[in-house]
Amino acid sequence: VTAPARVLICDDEPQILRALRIVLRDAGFEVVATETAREALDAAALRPPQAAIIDLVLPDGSGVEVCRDLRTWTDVPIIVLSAVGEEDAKVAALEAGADDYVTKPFGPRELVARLQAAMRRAGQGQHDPTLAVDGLEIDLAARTVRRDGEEIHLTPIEYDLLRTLARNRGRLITHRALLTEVWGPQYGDDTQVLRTHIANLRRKIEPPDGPRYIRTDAGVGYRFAG
Amino acid sequence: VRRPATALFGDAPRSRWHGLAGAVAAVGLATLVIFPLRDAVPPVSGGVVYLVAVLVVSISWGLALGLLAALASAAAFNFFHLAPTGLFEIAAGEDWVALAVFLAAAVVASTLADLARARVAEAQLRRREADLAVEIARILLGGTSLPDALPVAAARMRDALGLPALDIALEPVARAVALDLGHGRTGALVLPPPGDPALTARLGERLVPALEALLGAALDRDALQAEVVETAALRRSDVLKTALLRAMSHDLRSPLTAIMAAGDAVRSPTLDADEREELGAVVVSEASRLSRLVDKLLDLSRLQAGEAEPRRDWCSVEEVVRTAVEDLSERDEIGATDLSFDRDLPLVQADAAQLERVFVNLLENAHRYSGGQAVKVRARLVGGRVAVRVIDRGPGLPPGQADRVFDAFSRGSEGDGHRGSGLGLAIVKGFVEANGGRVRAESIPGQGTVFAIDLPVADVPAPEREPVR
Repeated sequence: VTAPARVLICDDEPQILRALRIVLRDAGFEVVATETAREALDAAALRPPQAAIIDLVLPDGSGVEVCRDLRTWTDVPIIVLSAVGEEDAKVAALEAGADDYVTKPFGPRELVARLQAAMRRAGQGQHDPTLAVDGLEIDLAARTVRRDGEEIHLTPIEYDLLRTLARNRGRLITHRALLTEVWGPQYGDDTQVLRTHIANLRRKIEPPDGPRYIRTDAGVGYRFAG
Repeated sequence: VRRPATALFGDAPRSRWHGLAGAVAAVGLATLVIFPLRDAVPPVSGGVVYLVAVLVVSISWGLALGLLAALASAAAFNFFHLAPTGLFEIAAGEDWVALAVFLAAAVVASTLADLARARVAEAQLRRREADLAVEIARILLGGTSLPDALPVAAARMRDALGLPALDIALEPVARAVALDLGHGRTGALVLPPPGDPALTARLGERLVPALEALLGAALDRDALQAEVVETAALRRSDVLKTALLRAMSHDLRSPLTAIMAAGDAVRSPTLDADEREELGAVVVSEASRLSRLVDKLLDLSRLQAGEAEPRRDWCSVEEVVRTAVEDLSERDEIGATDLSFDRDLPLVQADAAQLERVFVNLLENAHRYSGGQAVKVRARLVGGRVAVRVIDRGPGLPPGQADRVFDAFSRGSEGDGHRGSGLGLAIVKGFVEANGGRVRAESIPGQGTVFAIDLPVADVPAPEREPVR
């Protein structure tokens, strides 16, 4: 029997912590609850967690800084808790290394599902030469893409976009991260170009009845279905 | 009969009798002037002097008298200066020619002079019309709103036209000069009866079109200004709504998240009795937090919409403060509160419910920052006003924040660890001022903050002092 995975939670609302502790315990996690950024970083250093849930607004600083600090020494999945109106902080947290976000008020089950998905991804090997999702097959070695066995011709940029998204299957990739990865750091703000190429890519790989593989997170980024 | 050209600006026309006398005088004078000249020039040339007289009469009194003066001059010339003098007879044939030439020259000169005279009069009239139009433009478009400017413009026009009365209306008026103000709007220029068709025709030529254009422009301007004011108000309320949404985003969602998480957790099969108790408490306290937030939002939106009309009645400040403290203590919201009231504090005329909201918000705020120390409330009669001070021993306000704390959504500096909606003090200020009171914050950093409210004691004595608990 493996020990339960340890999850660090940081939220300045003790009432939320109280309830989440029980929900996460039932989902099989060991919970370390903290209320400030300082406490969270100290607790993470003392008892390294396997995942972290960080509120964006903390009494002694921002959740973005906690993400950045954690990322200097650990790759564990980080999920940030945000509210509508905190879009900028949300994007900043993702760019600082957070894996995903949930928007308050969230159902605790959604949080648990996101947490488990993020931990599953973290455990997966990332270097399979082929990726196959729901009829779409990407051969990273041969740089070919097939849907239902039929080869699809992509431009180099479209292929790079698809590969970046597919390699991070299920994970939300911000606009800036995609632009930096595919075009280079100096193109980080060119979201109009990104939109155009994503639209072209979707036209080629998505079935006509609606997007199945690439999901949009409005104002934040894209993620590959997973 | 007045000539319209002069009647327009109320000039008294020169009397015909004056003209006749002037003509006789001019002809007589010319006749006299020629006598001494007889030695120097031949008598026939003396006619030139009469031409001067005819010109003067024509310019001064018009064509008719000019022609009359011409005929009179011819007769006088003949009688006094052409041989044989003293008789209306002419001896020499060349004198006949001279007289005929003189008469023709006099008629032509007289006609030309009259024409010039009329042109000058016309030009003066136009200039006065233009001056009047400019002045009315200044009055109508010069800043004040149209309803204020209209009577001034009408009075100015009445004086300029020399009329006993004149009115400008922005709606159609029967038996008045209709003004087309554009966009289907109609006004009226009301002239005193009886109407003078010549004056009306004259006005219709220049002044009425100018007036129409000016009134149309003034109406357009007023409409635009009203629109600008409305747009600014809308923008302000938009900014407020956006700020409200942002501020509420966190404040509403946190309790909702806690309630949803507690609701989910309470279904856990592994729950023990303490945990169940704890989760129940989470739901109740977070729901009451939401409910208080909704109260504040309602208060604030009423204040912002100007719908917080106080229902004033006699009320005791002491009673109101005690009710607020009891209310908060029952909900376990506040710690120790030390109350002190002057004996025989007069009643004030205020909306007791609004005053209670004032003290609830002030006490919540003071306890939030007092760091567990008792909050003091002192009420005294000072200079005809009931002065209430709510004193906490918290960290005090940052310098320069004493006035800004009353702005909606201002709250302690980012991340100072104090949870508040940022609405309470805006509500305090709104309700205090709606009830004729004043509120200000005083603070010594590190030593605490005082919120000082004073409420006016009504001039009329209270009908019946209610016993204070």
